[in-house]
Amino acid sequence: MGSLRLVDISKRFDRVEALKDVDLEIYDGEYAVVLGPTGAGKTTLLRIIAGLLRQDNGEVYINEVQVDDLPPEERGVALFFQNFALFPHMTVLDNVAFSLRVKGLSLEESERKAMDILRMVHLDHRAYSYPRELSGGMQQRVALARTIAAGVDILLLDEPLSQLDAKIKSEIQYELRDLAKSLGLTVLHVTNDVEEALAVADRIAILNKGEIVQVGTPVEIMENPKTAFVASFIAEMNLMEGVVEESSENRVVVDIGGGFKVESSRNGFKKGELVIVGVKPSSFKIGGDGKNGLTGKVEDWVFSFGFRRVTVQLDNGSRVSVKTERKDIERGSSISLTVDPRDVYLFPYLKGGLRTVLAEVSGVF
Amino acid sequence: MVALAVLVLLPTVFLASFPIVYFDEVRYEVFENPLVGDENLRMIISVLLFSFKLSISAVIIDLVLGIPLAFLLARGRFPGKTLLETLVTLPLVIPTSGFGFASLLTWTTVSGIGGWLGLGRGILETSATIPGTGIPILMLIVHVSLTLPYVVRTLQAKLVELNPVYEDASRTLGATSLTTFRKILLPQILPAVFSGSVLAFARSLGETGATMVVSGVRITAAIAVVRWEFEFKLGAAAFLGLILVLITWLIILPVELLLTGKQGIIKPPPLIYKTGLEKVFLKLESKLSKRGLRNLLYVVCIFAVAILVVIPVIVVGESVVAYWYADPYTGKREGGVVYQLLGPPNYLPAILRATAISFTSAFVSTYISVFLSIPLAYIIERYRFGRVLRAILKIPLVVPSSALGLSTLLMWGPKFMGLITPGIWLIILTHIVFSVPVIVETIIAVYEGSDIKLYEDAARTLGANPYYTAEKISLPVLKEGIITGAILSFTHSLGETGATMIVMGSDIPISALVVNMVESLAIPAALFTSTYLIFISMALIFVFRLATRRK
Amino acid sequence: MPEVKLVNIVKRFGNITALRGINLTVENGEYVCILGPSGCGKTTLLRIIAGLLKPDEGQVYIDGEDVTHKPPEYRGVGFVFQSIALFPHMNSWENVLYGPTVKGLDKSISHRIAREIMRTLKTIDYSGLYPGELSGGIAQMIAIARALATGAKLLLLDEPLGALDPRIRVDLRYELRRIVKGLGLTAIHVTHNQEEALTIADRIVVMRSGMVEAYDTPENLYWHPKNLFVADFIGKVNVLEGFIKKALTGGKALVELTGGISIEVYAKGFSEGDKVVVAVRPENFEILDRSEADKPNLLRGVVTRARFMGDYYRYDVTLESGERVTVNTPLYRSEKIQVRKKGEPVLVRFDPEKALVYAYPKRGIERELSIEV
Repeated sequence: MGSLRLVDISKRFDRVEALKDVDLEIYDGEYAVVLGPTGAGKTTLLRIIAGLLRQDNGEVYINEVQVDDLPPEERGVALFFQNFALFPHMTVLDNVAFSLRVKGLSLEESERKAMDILRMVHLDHRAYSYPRELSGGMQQRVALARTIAAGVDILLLDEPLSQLDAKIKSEIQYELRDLAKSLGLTVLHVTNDVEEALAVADRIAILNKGEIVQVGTPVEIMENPKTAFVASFIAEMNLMEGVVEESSENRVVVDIGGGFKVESSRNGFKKGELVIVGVKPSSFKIGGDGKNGLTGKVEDWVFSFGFRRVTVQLDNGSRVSVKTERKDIERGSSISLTVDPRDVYLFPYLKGGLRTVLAEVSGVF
Repeated sequence: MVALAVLVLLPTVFLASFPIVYFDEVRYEVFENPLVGDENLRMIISVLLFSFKLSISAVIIDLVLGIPLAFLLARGRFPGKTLLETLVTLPLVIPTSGFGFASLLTWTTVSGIGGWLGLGRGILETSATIPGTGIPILMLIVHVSLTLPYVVRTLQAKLVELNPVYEDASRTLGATSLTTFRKILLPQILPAVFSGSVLAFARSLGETGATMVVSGVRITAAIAVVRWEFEFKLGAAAFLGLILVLITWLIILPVELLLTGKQGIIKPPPLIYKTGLEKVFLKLESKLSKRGLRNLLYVVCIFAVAILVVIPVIVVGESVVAYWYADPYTGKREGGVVYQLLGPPNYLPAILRATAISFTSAFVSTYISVFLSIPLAYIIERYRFGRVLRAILKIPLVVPSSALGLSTLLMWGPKFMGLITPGIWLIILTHIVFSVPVIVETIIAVYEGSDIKLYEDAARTLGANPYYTAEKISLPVLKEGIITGAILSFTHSLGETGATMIVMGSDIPISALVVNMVESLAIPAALFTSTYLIFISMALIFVFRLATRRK
Repeated sequence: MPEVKLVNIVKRFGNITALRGINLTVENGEYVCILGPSGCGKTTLLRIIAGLLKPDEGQVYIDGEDVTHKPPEYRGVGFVFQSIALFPHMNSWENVLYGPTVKGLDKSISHRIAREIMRTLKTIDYSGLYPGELSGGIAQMIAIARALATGAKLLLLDEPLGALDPRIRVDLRYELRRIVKGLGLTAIHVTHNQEEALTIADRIVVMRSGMVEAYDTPENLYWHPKNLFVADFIGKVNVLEGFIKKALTGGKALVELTGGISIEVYAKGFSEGDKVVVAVRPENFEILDRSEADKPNLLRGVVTRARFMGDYYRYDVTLESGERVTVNTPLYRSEKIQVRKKGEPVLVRFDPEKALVYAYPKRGIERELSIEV
């Protein structure tokens, strides 16, 4: 059994409000991810749950028991530290066996169990090495083994993959999820990396400036981001400011300047309202004759995994990027684009406009 | 905390009470002596001025030599770096009276440099001064050797901590190495320059052991305290001691509290931009940044270390051999080491007894200090008032040791508590006062250098309670710091002279014995004892290095 | 105008040879990425170009001039560090002003240069802030402004985006390319991130263990990598083992895979019976419905893991042969995406022209792909 419920958690450090009324529930056996930019309050949240930090307001329930007055060692959660925090004076085996020894198991018994866990992460052959003798990837696995060895049902993982090379990470993230699932653990994993979140999560909670702004499954979040911030943070999205010109049941036309009008099948916006329009780079079709025609000039293109990412300077002055598998795009040439109204997102306008959204995504306050 | 207050903090400040409680005595001696009037007061002022002049000059030379050396040690990669490091810090661990005697030999006698150069005499007179300043050269040399390590070590630690990427960045932005030093490094290490200088200054102000050996007729403030105590002029001694303590307090506390703040960067005023001197500087620096010139500077500094530290040690060792059976110049057996040790002067039993006293007091005081220091370091790191506590704890490190000795004597001794009379127990109590800060500082250095707070958090979330965490995680990680601190404190205790001479009574430890021998002109015996003392310390350090290298 | 030429650069640290004879030319105005796993020597190489390290052998030419023994301050290069390294005791403005000032330029000129470059890089609003008050992305832009304010036309970037949030990293790479191209600079950029290198560079140097494995445009490296290591390092490949069963016309050949299935690939220079490996990128596999079972190059398997990755679905498929492959199906490729579930039997297929064929590595596949030689 391992469920976790946070009610109205707030925390303030001097002048900075690190967490604001955070409510979050994580079900037994779930793999949940809190995703947000650096400085959003992710680590603070984990430290509060683990009992290493005391919140100013709100309650933490673990298995429906309020734990706010319990010290870390009695809460029944194990925390994985971002920089591993492996005990430098102990061997790999002693590190993993630590929590077993703490529980009062005999030396033999705890070493045997620790060895079993090390075997699970394929590091039994390095049991007698010291942490500093291992590569970053190995240390990560030892830290994971040590966290698992604590034998609790809830794991708190603080950016567990951030210290790894891009290539190793893109392989190991799936294994991390498999391991947690096979052991039936409840996991709360925090990260600032969207790909990592998608790779492991059952559900994702997006945290921005100490507030949870959206919670949902990966598909829900990717397909229906609620705000321009979420949309821009979770994926590359072309954002433009505009004014609603027409609005009906399931058709909104937005003037984005320079004579360009785009139609969207989202509703809920009134005529004359300022909105932010979002289009994914992959939603643009080049040269088609569909709706929402836009014209511009190819400023540059770059190649990525099998496709090209084309930067287009639109004739209304804004710049968009377009993802295409076509190979006949020339720099400096004219280009026309279309986009299906179903792929045009509309977001409520924010004070300060697009600039504010972009600044939030890049962590500028 | 109570033990801390009684053993460490109280003795530091107790001195202040004396001039107040016994104000009459002080007034009688210092201000209105019926025989000499305010002669003593004038004496006090003159020794203070002299001490200041000496210490400030020493610090200036320390900086000139210390900055390049610190840079070389922090950034350079060359064979013999560890050796150089050991040599620079040697004066920290070898007993100062022995070292003072070695310097005396080296500079003023035919056995030293003078003899090597074939002059037939020493190259310096003990009383020689720098023209126009009245600063005795020999005394300045000794003070520079003894205080240089404080400057070098503080700066080196700061430089090592400073990411060299800033220097790389500056170079790629077109700045030569000297310009980089002026504009990038200096502003960032300025706090360390200050705190290193303050330490060196305070140390120089309070230095007793070596100074007494080389002082000749000139006396510094620190020596005056010891002398007057011997002459039972307690009032004058306490008054001067108090002034010394106050001065060090005034210098240390603000520097500590200001500089240990989070910022740690001092922005130099943009004087140079405004006066247009910048271009002149740039040109000069680009000329001087040539590799050859830089290496020359390093060689000069290393050479200085060799002269200041290595040669005295060699000279004293060589002299023992030369003087073994007889004075090599007169041929008299009475002038030989063997005669003085085993013959009628019969110094050997005194040396053996002194050795026993030294080791016992060093061991006991270190042992007790370790137990006091561990919780103390913990408190300093964990609580907000820790910073203040740490600053206060630095005082015993820099207060002139003779004043400190006087303070403990007054506190425990017949004048106040009457609990303990001068002797080995009082030596131990006195040594604890400065041993605790030494150990605490090294533990803190290790504490801050490792992620121990993180490990403790990790242990807690893995189910360990605070006591288990302390036992299995904190202490083992800190072990290295504790051992280093203990060794430093042990050698410091072994060599301490100033305070020890005041509180020793008839239990004369080996460092004080050297001073006594020099003063009674038993040169060969002093020679032997100095060498013996220096080599014991060096052996200890060597063993320690070996033991820690394995890691 | 800067052109960089490296001739037989060798660098050793103690017993370790970090660079084993590097020859490389970067053309004027080119954006080159040096891509390699940690420890391959890429940063060492960059530091040698900057003059922060001296090579043990070989020469560095910048603009045709031998600068091997010139100190960094006289090389006229701008260096950008992973750790950003803005001077902590100076605000943004003073940081940018530093280069012109230490060059001894007049105050009015230095100020003009600093102002212009900060305007170009849209950082002028942050002039008064100190490094500790800036977010990582902005701080790195200011560090770039600082490097360019020296007048450098050659920009050396050491993992410039490595310390930033993943999301900002993506935005900034396009920004970086735009600045370099807009100002007509030459740039050499070190990274261990494949996607970053692909999307930013005109040409990529792939390094392994102190040697250059490949030097080519992103598209060529992706479509025609010269060996299996490069193929796998530039994005992942699924490696299938087999042997040449029969040569076909048009440069094609029939390969029989482990498990007995024969597939068609383009393969030149092999003879019948040669042991080969066929490498297919995850995004070049398609998953088909049962109804299309008559197409060539079909492999049967079962989905063992399925994840939604935003832009694409990622499936791990265990083939009948027991080999495990990864298949990525991008959402934009078709109107309707059929989502597969774990345990579902599927057909996996690929176009012959999208498969890469190499002779079976002598030392085995694992060693061939390892980041150490």
